[in-house]
Amino acid sequence: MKDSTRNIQGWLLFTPAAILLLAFTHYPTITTFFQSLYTNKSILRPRRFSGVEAYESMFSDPIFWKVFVNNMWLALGTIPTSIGIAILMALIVNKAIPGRGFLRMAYFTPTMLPMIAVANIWLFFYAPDIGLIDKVLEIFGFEGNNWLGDPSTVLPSIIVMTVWKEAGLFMVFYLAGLQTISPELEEASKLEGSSRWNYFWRIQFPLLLPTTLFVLINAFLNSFKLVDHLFVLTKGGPDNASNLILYYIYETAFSFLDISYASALTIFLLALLALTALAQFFFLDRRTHYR
Amino acid sequence: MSAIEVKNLSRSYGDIDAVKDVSFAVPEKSFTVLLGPSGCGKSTILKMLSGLEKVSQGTINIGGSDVTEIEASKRGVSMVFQSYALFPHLNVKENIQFGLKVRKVPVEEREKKVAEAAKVVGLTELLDRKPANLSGGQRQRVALARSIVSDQSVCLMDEPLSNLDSKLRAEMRDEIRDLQKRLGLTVVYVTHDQVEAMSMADQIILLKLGEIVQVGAPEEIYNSPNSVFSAQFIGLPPMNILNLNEIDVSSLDSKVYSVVDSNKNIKDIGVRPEHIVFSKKGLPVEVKSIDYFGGETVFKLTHQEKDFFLREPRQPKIQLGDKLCVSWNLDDMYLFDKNDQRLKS
Ligand SMILES: Nc1ncnc2c1ncn2[C@@H]1O[C@H](COP(=O)(O)OP(=O)(O)O)[C@@H](O)[C@H]1O
Ligand SMILES: [Mg+2]
Repeated sequence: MKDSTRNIQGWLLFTPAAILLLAFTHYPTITTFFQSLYTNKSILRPRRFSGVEAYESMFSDPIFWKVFVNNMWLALGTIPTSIGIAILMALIVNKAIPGRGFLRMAYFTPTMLPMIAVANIWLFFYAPDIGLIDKVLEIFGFEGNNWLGDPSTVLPSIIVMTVWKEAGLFMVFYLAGLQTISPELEEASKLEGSSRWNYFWRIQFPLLLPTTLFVLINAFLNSFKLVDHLFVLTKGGPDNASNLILYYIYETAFSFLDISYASALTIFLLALLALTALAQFFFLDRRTHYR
Repeated sequence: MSAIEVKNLSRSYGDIDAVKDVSFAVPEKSFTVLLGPSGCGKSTILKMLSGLEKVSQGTINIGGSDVTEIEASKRGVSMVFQSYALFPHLNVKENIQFGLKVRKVPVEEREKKVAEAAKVVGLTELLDRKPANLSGGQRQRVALARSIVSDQSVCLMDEPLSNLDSKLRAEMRDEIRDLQKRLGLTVVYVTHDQVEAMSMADQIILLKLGEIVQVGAPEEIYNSPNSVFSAQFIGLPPMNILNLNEIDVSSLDSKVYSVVDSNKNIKDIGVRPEHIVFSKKGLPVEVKSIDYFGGETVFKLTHQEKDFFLREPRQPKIQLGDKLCVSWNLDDMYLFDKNDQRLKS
């Protein structure tokens, strides 16, 4: 076959995917960017070029800073805990114990549920007085709390729920990672008198580093992407105490109808996620390959 | 004195009896090979010796004390694994001194031991390399060095050469044997390769389906196998086993015939390929294939649709399809009964 026909064939094969990407990813991204540089159109005033004004007001918007800091707390509160729990669960279900299949299923169930369903379950847990948590506290003689209505407990409550939801998914990655480690390594270290604990820290954990890096970055991305539960649980309240960037964008665009500002927020979030994704490529490709 | 003594050892996994009532002794500073086909329980026995696998029944004695219930690291054994079991994220030095660090050996002593062991196996230049950057033979040496620094007098090896190419395998065979002699180690070595067993062992323990078939020095098993299994497992090509009902007994040499005819318990006769010769009279055969190996020639012959081998150090002028006769000396013939056991004539 001639080179030119091969080239044409290649382009033809590439075109459908390219059209989809352009139409639904690149084109909207670029329009969003331009929208953030213009004011909103209204009956009274036409659209005008406003440059970085939207970005300036973003950085001086206390609510923006609040949702950003909330998001960072969410990441900080969920990622190390869910990774820790995920590793622990993976170590447990990697052992040849009876009922292993059932246990794997049980650990993974929260991950299979849609976020909205998870939120509904936890709404019942957190409900004041009649909720599961308050009921249990009552038995031991403790005061109940309006977990989702109190600004000081709402974010931690969301964090706990997110950990519950995500740990199962990360467990699957760690389980896959553990299964690539030859059981002879454990036998060899056992024979040398190494304790289980020492084997974990000296051998298993370092060998799981690529998995950890992958999970770390995905968990970080998830903490910005997952907001479905806010619609059911708190709507970002009370007083934005549980509001997150993506939910704030939704509110700004579709409740407050401030397209220009919502676009600026979107571009900010996109830039943040893009940087993280780049870091992922950089680290995962360059580091921690042993074999 | 025996370094290891095993009595009535058994191991079952559910319905599978992997090892059945096995007893043997390993003399101190000897090289003992557990030999047998795949799945016969060799690795299971080795793992029970090391303490990595539980014993179903029986006792294990190492260095004069009963270690049956003692944990792996306290038995005074080191092990070389089939896959070498090197830690991929640690360099050669860290791999070798892993156990020393666990046992909190002081730094100076550690450095000294690692340097010595590295010198013994010729790894001094490669201490900073990761296992991924080593050849198969070099990885094998790291595993040996790790076993050497542990200072245990008993070393267990599970098919340590099976991942190497044949040339390297022959080299490492000599090296391991040499190392064992120099360091005065007691080695228990698992393999399914009879060539390895024959060339390395002081003592071979031949296994089949979890049971011991025969124990003895290589030449002992070769020269006086106690069963059809022993006779055929050792030697290449294997010993020819001829069922008396399938051959023309009347054409045999008269002395051979009278022996075969005198005992009704004989079911098979066995003759090694190097003991069969072409002759004027005897069993009529047709030449089916000829393999020249330079130093020897192996003929595949057929007699009444039964194949067997003849080995010749010279290269006789014989061609495919030739019809000839073969015979052998009475002294070179083995007799087996209906249970495939050797009959002493
Ligand atoms: N962990 C195990 N669970 C169940 N069966 C096993 C296990 N380990 C070994 N076996 C069985 O025991 C028998 C002997 O195995 P093994 O000692 O590995 O044989 P070899 O090393 O001689 O090839 C085999 O039939 C094998 O399937
Ligand atoms: Mg084996």
